[in-house]
Amino acid sequence: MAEIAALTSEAGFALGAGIAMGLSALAAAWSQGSLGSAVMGVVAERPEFEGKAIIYVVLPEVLAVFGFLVAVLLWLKIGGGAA
Amino acid sequence: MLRPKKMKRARVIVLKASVESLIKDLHEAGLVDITKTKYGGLEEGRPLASFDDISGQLLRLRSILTLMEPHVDMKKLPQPEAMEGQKALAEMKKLDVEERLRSLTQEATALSEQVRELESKALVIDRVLHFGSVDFSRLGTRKLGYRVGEITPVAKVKEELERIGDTSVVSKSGSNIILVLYDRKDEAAVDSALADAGFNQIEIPEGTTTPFETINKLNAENEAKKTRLEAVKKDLAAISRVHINRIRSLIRSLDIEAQRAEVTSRFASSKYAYVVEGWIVADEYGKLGSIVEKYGSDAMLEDAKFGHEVMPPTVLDNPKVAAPFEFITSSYSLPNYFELDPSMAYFLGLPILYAMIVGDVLYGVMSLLIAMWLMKKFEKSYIMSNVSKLWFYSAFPTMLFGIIFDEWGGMSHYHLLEWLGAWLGTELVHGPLYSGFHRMENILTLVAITALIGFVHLGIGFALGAINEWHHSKKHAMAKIAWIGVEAGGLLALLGGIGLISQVFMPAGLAVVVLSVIALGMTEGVVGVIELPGLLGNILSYTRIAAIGVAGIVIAELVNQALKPMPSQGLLAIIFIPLFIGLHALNCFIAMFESLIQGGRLNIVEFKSKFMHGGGVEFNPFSLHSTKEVK
Repeated sequence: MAEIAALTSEAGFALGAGIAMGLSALAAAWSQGSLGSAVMGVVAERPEFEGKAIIYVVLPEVLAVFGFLVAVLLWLKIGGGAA
Repeated sequence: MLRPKKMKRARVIVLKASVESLIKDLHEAGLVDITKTKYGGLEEGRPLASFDDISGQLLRLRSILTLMEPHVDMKKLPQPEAMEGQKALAEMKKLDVEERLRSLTQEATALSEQVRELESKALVIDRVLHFGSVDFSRLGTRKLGYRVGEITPVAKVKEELERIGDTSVVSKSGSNIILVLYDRKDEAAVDSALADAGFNQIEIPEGTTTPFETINKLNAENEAKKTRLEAVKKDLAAISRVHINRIRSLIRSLDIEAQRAEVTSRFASSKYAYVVEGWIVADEYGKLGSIVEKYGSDAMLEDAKFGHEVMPPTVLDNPKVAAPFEFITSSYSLPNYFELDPSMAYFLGLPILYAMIVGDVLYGVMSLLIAMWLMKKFEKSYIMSNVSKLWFYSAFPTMLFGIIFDEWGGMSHYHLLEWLGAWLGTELVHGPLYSGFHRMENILTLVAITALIGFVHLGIGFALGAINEWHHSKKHAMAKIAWIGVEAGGLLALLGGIGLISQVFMPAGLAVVVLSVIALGMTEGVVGVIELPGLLGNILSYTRIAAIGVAGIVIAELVNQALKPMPSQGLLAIIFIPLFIGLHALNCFIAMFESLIQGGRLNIVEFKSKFMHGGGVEFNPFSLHSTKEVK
């Protein structure tokens, strides 16, 4: 019974890690998609803003990185480092 | 250093008789940012009388330059030299090249058009060349009509057309272009049949005799025109090469004269004198004094006092070493004159945040080399040269943090030396030389440390904000101090709560938080209190340092696990070496890019917003050097 509980708990962590990574990557992709199209519009009108505009497109990447961090933390909980 | 350069508001009163000379001196000195001057009882100045003439001549010169540009490689031309204004105007009068240039350009345009027309006619004739001996000039009489065009399938249409009266169809096997000859009285029936069959008519150019004869004539004519066009273009190129430097020099000279003649429209004017006002860097005020002194009683300089109601332009004042960080300041929003300049704070903060993200000795070395290469390659690009310098400066703390984190290309120093030893066939070390702070093994601690860094960084921001506001509004300065209170109280309560310090500090910390929130409510109102969760968000935002850093390590470790070349792998190791180096270089470049963006963001969004409102105006002195260079 205790073994089943431990396995269920590990599965929960693994699932959580996957969801954290997946959803955060989707959020980053969605934000970058919206920002990207807006930025292209700006650059088409005002090419001098290209440098600044690109930075705004890159910023949401960190959402995926945060998800990755959470996933790594959960992975370490189930002994990922030892593996 | 932490503040923009001190500015003075200079006011010069000058007699109209001396104004042209003074304007010339001011323009050459390039000291004063001349502003629009308005005084009750005085009129707004107008451009000098010479302005219209100079503008007209400039327009003429620019149109001449436009005619010359296509015939000269502009990139190879030297920077044009300016000459004295009167001399330039005299030179203009002697300029005799314009008419010849225009007539040659017109001829070249006409010839190009004729060549295009001949070529398009030749294309048409080429399509009907298989009717080689048919003289089209003899077709199309009062009785006989004809149509030439493309149709498919030829056989079926031919059969249908030949049923209409005396209509006959000439075609050649293998071609779907037909010649239809018909009696004028059948024209409507023929056209209707052709339209139904999807006939695509070819208009035979006027003057066409037989296609053979016409094509020969067109080709000969085309050759003659092309030869003449080449000769005209050569003439144009020769004239342009000889005169273009003179034209550019005249444009530069008259551009300067136009600026000087136009600047009086920013002055206030009376019957006999002008009043000129502008901003000058306080250290340069003496130089302006010397210039005005030359005019004796014709001109007078006054130090016009100003308060917070006017906004002087901002001139950043940092040591040369911090210049690339001024690039960040000026790229987003210049601090206004009364604010602290964040460039030095960026100089100290950005490389540290960057280094904490990359945190690898070998990546530090690699980024140093990449930065040096980029600095050389993009020496003349304002953005890239500054960004490369930011990478250059940040590479050194990166190496330092690499040593602290014990990260050497995704390996610990011990594993690196062990690996190198395997290649050298000797054991370089028997055990680790030191024990670093391994980020992968201490992620939670790392997250806590980065949040603490955020806490300190924002605290510094609030302190700078309090300094900024102190002379402007004590109330706002107190609000900034209240924010520091919220931060400090919150930290005390947190550390006491989790038992890292005595639990006595927990209620004390909470009391500080409550008092600070009350102070915040009193100074910034409800808005300040509503913004409290934002502070937590700002602090947590700094944990991106840990997140991005860990992501970089995982990629580096994956590269090492999969592709680390070992001597035991034999030939496979030779394949692995370039892949191993290439992927690490790629990971390093991604880390460099990401760390600069995210490190920059923490400085610009989270940190700077705590003390800087921005809205500074760029200092734009009336100067020869601000004259736009002629292409």
